Order: sequence, then C-alpha cells, then structure tokens
Amino acid sequence: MAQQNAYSLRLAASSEQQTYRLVELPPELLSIVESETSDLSLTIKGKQSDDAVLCSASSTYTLRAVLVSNAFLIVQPTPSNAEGGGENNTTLEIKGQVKDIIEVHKAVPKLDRLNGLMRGTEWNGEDEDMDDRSAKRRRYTYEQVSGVVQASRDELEEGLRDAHVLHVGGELRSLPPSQLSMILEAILTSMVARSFSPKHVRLAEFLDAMEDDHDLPRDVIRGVIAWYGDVSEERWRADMASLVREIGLGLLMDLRDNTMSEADFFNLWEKKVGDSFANEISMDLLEGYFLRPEPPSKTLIYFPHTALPTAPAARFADLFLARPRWRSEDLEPFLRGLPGGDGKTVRDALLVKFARRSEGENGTIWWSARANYT
Amino acid sequence: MLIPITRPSTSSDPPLPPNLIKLGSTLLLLELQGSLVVSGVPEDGEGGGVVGEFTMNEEKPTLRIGHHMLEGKVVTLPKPLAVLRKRVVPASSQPRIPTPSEESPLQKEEDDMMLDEAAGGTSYEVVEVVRKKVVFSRRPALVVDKPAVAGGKRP
Repeated sequence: MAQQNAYSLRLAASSEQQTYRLVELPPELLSIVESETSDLSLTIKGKQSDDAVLCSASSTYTLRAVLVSNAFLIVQPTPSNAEGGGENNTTLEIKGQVKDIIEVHKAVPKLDRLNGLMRGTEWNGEDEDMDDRSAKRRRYTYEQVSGVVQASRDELEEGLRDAHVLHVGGELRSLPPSQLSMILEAILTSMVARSFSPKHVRLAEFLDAMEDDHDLPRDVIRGVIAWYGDVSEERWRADMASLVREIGLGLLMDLRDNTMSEADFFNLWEKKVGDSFANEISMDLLEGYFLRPEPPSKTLIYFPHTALPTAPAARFADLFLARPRWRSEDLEPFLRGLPGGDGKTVRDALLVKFARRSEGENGTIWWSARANYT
Repeated sequence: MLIPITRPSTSSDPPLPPNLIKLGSTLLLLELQGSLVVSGVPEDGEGGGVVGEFTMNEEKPTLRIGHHMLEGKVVTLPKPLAVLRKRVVPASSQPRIPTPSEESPLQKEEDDMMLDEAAGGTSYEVVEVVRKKVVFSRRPALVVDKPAVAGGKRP
C-alpha cells in the first residue's frame, strides 16, 4: 500500500493545549541544545521588571519577542492507539499557536546590580558578626544573587571575584580593600614563617596556620586564596605574581591621600611583600593602573583604567584631559579595556580615529587630542 | 528569578509519520497568514475539533480547510528555531518571559528581591529544534469538487 500522505488536522483538546515559545538559536546555543548532555544549563534570569536574559554556562543573551503577523501552528501527531487503523490513521494535532518569535542576541552581562547588592555586606573581621545590629542587615546567598544579577554562571563568578566577594557562612560578603591587603600580608607572613612552598601549599595545614597566627576564619582565607592561584581539595598552587600585584594595587589606591615618588612606592611595596617574594615585584604588574610623573612633578599617580569610560570617544577625552600628550607605550594599557581593545589592529584604528600623531625630535611618537579648540 | 530550560523529562512525543520526517522528528511548524480563530470548545474524542486536512505530496504541502484549499511550500528557516514548551509545576499562574510592556515597579528594588527570587515553578523544555517550516502564504482557492473528505473518517 502506498504511503499515506493526507492527514486529518485537528485542534488538541483544550486540556492538552500548552504554551509554546519559538526561540531563534544562534550557532553557539544551537550546539548546546544539540549536544548530547542531559543538562542544558540554560536559564532565563532577571527580575520581573527586567528585560529577560538567557544565560548559558558562560554567556549572556538578551531575549526580544518580535511580533509576527503570521501565526505559527505547532503540530504534533497524536499518539497512535493500538486499536484502530494502525499507522494509516495518524491524525495531526494543533498543540499550540504562537504569535511571536523570540530573537536572541549575545550581550554583555549586567553586573552593575551586583555592586548595589553588595553594599553593606562588607566583611570587617569576625568580631563584627557578634554585633546585634549586623544581624538585621540584609545579606544575600549566592542563589539569590544569581537569580537577580543577569549574568551567566562564569560571568557572575568572574564579577564576584573582581568585586572581591567572599562566601562566608552561606552568605556573600564583599571584602573591602583594606581588609584584603591585611589578609594578603598575613598570608605572606605565614607562608614565610612556616616555610610553605608557593607551588604546593597543603591546604588544611595552611588554613590551620592562618587561624592560629592571625585569627582569620578558614572560609575567608579559602575564598581569598582561590583568587590567587588554583585551589583543590588538599593543596593551593599559589600564583604569587597576582598576589603581589594585588598588594601593589592596594598601595596604589592609597596614593590618593598619600603621594610618593615611584622609588618610594617601590620600596614600600617591597617592604609589604617581604624579602622572600620581592623578586616578583615589577611595575609592569600594575600596568594600566598608574601614571608615571611628568617631569616637574615626582609623584606617582593612581589612574585605574577600570574607572575610565568604556565608550571610545569618552575614554579618549578623559585620557587627554589627564595628560595632553601620550607616548604610544604609555597609552596602550589604557586602551585595552575598550571593546575589541585586545587586538592591536583595533587599537591602532581607534588611535587614528581619536588621536593625532606627531613625532618628537628624537623619534618618539606622541599622541595628542585630535581637535583642539582653544 | 530563575527559569530553567531543560530537555523534556519524558520522551513521550510520538514521531512524525515517515513521509513528514524531513520536516521535523516530532513536530511540524505550519505558518499561516492571519491566525486560526476558534470559537467554542472542541469536543473531545474522534472527529472533534477537526480543522481540515493536511496533505504532503512529494514536495508540495496543501492544507484544506472546509472549502478552501491552501497551497504551501516548505521553507528552510534562516535560523533554526527551538520550540519551547512551558511547564508549570505548581498549578498557579506564573509569569512568562516578561515583555517590555510589563510595568516596572522600580521603587523598593532591593526589597522585593526575596519575593522575586521565590517565583519558581516555571520551566521551559526544548521539545525540538526545527529547521524547516511549511508556509501557506497564498490566497486560498475554492474547492467544490471533492466534498466531505476533510471531515474525518468515521467508522
């Protein structure tokens, strides 16, 4: 018998009708959906008042419902009954109608809400927790934050780390810079005093040591060291350069109230870090966070690239406000944070667009503001 | 608020008949100009709620609704579409994907967080990824020659 090619099309009983959504899939999402893993780890996130975003494990996508004038019918065959005419009697059922299609576009994670949530959660040592007052303050768990901050798991993880947020007793607490510097110095002291090798720090022993030497709780230390290196169940492979850098950044931040020359800064940094790790120190670690003094002045300036605008035009305006002309190598670190700024071609294109090039007498290339209306 | 997107928990969706398989494995996507307006509740059981007859001859799909014959064509979608089916675990009206028109109570933004976070229960499951759709874009033609086929066969 020839294959049946006419099917009766009917509406599904109202009890079986369901809400369907049609979502356009960009290639990365398609590969996730088509992969064999049972757990898709795709989540729609945000508060009810937000525009919803879709998060995979590593990226964030905006969702936008686009109304279409045509109707889409979702049609499925009815489960074939054992009795009746067998396969030749298949009917198709309209399970749902859809009037819009959801477009998906890759987006930057919206992490700014994190700062607001973390305000007032600062961890200032153990004693403060005994305070009655603090119990009333609002604190959030990771689950709560992840439901509200519209970012994927990896991006949120990175955001928490950049904002120095710790998991303490099931709550998220931000660690203020002063506390962080204090803890890092304590870590260095104990590492030297108890001669732990940075490449293989035995975790249990180290956490005991920190508790004994400095009265610092284990979960705080565990959280902190995870930012500098790689922590597994029993050991911590320390990334001393990044730890030393963090101490340097803390010192740089203090320059705002307490100016000093580069040499003095370097000495102070060395003193804080201690002899054992002084060889890790290099101003290159702090690239993009400071300005070397211009000849008449001698003081180092704290100038973090993270505080500059992310739009190219605004950033160049700020940069030329800070300094009327720049050497290429000085300017470069401050362009990296711009969209696409990791690539040299993009940076060069931005320079050509927003800055004017001139050559000094000894062949140095200077960049200055493009238009000067004075 | 977190709305997870999962795979279907049960693989109960029956496959499409063999000659429709190139349109999808468990479901078809039909695109109609305008929409299907249904009044009343379709009666359950055989023959109830019949809309028309869908035919697939070689590459040419047709849809017959009453005396109207719609001729369609199979179109490959520019981007594959995921068909998501909404699942609500507790029988309550959960918010769907918020649309931009939804009112936004901005005040007490942080206070309502706890409530917001608890709005679980809803999830979506990816029923299938469709790559083709059947579009009926032409005007319907009137048919008078073959009556009473669309009404479904009765024993």
